[in-house]
Amino acid sequence: MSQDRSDISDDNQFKGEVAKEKLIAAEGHISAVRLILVIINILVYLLFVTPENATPWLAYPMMTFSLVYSLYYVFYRPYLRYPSLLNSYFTTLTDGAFIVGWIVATGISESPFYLLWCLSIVAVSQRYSFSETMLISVIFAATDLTLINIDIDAPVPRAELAVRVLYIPITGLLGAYFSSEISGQIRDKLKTQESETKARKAEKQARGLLDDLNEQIAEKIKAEKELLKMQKTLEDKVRERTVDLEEVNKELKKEITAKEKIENEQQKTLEKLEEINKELESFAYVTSHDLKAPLRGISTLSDWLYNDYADKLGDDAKEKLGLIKKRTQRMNELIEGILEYSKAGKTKENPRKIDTLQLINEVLGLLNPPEHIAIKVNENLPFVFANQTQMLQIFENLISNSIKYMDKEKGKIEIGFNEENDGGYFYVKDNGVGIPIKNQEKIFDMFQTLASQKSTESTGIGLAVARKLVNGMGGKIWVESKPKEGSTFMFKLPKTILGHHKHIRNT
Amino acid sequence: MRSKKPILLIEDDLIDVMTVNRVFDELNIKNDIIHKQNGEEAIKYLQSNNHESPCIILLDLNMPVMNGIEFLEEAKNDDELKKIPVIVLTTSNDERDVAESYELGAAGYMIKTAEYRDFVSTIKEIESYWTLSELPD
Repeated sequence: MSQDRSDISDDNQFKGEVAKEKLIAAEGHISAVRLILVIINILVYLLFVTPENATPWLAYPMMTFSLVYSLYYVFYRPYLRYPSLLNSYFTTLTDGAFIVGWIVATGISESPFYLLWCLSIVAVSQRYSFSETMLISVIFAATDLTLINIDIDAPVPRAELAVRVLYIPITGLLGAYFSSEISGQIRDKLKTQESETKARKAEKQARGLLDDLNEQIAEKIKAEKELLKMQKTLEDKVRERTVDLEEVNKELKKEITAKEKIENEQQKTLEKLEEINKELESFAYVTSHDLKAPLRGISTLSDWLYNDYADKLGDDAKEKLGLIKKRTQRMNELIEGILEYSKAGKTKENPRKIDTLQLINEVLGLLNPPEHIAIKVNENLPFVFANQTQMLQIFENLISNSIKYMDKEKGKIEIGFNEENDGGYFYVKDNGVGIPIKNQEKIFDMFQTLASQKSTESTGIGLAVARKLVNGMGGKIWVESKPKEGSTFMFKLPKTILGHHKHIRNT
Repeated sequence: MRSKKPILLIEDDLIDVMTVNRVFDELNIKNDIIHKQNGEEAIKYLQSNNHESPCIILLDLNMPVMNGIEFLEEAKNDDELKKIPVIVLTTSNDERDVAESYELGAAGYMIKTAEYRDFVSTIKEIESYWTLSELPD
């Protein structure tokens, strides 16, 4: 297909070349003839005939311009330089202007020039086709006749009029003779060629655009393919991650199940411990009661023996019975001690805000220390958030111990609180009997007293109970002591109990 | 005691029984003491045909077979038995026992101590109270 087209265009091009040559030749003729006519017109005008109706102000410039224009066309040949001039309307206009201009410049009705005017038409006829030339002559004639009618000053004689009328067809025919059908066709063809060139240019442009478009489409398709690839990669990655996540999830679930299992076991252990605790409680309770009953019997019977057979028993027997009695009492106290110890810390009380200063004063009221002991209670005793009964028991045990083991005539007991960075500790300080270092740990054990176990009233559970209570609250109890000089019992409690202990007291 | 009726003592400890007898002698209380070992025997006796209805029941809580609390439950359901005032005499100072005894209609609750003399004053108090108090027939 494209080959055909190029053939035709080549053909056209060749034809075009030939046509062009013909036109150029025609232009050459016309320019030459025109130059001659112009020179003749000028010579005639200047030398021989001065037309009556001439318009000198137009004629002279007209003549100059025509001469120059014609010379320019002959020697400069602009149609070679500007091929478009060959078939442009510009040339047509100049031809028309030339002829009309002469007519007007040289006066309308002057017959000598009339011939020249006709010749001018003939001269340019080569540029035009037959039909075009006829048309030009008709227009010329119509113009002439119109102008004649307008010119009333010099009526034209009939004979002249007739000749002029005759000239028109003759001119037309002559012109037509010289006109070149080919020139017209060639001009048309050139015009077509031009439009074809234009069309081809447009086609090329369009093709160019199409190529661009195709390129863009190809790029777009490429980009889409890339995108699809990336999408697929992404999907794969997502799938991978999902699988990973699922695995992690499984692991986590396993861990959670394991953890739950451990928690369950912990819970079970806790419940077991509570159960055991309750059992121990009731065990201690039951045991102490069951132990007390026969004890009561022994005590009662020994009393009755002593009373009923007093006269029959010797002093020795009476003393022995007395010892039996004392032992039973001791055992009773021990059992009471066990009971008390097991009960310690088991109250169902809720913790509340307690003024320890007030509490200690209560304890002192209960214990009623003897007069030879001076008691000092420090004002800086704080508020605590704890179980009231337990706090009472701790202070009661510590203070009653200090009273019990006071061997000095001028006894001193000081009770207070020392503040420290991480909280602080309570203290009960006495100048009593003191505790040897080797015993300072033991005294917190059950049934430990300083004196002989058989003689003293104390059962030795006071400190054991105090320690149980303090440890139960999460605290710590200890002693510093110098034998013969005195002892300081101290205990600290956790921050949750001490809290913000700087409350202002309304003293 | 105003009434001449016997006193029913429901107690399993032999020495405690001896103690009550001894105290009554000391305080010169003339009423007879009927002694039963446990709640079940007491119920049997009280529901038998030939029994003498006691004016007061002294009841221990810790007994085998049927303990004091169970006896009180039984007595509550019996129209005749629930008329007789019961004084709980026990070693237990547990609040729960006290509360339960009163809930089940005990007229009094006395704690047995290891000290004989205390026991004597306790019984003396019971005696003087019930001497003044009216008893159902």
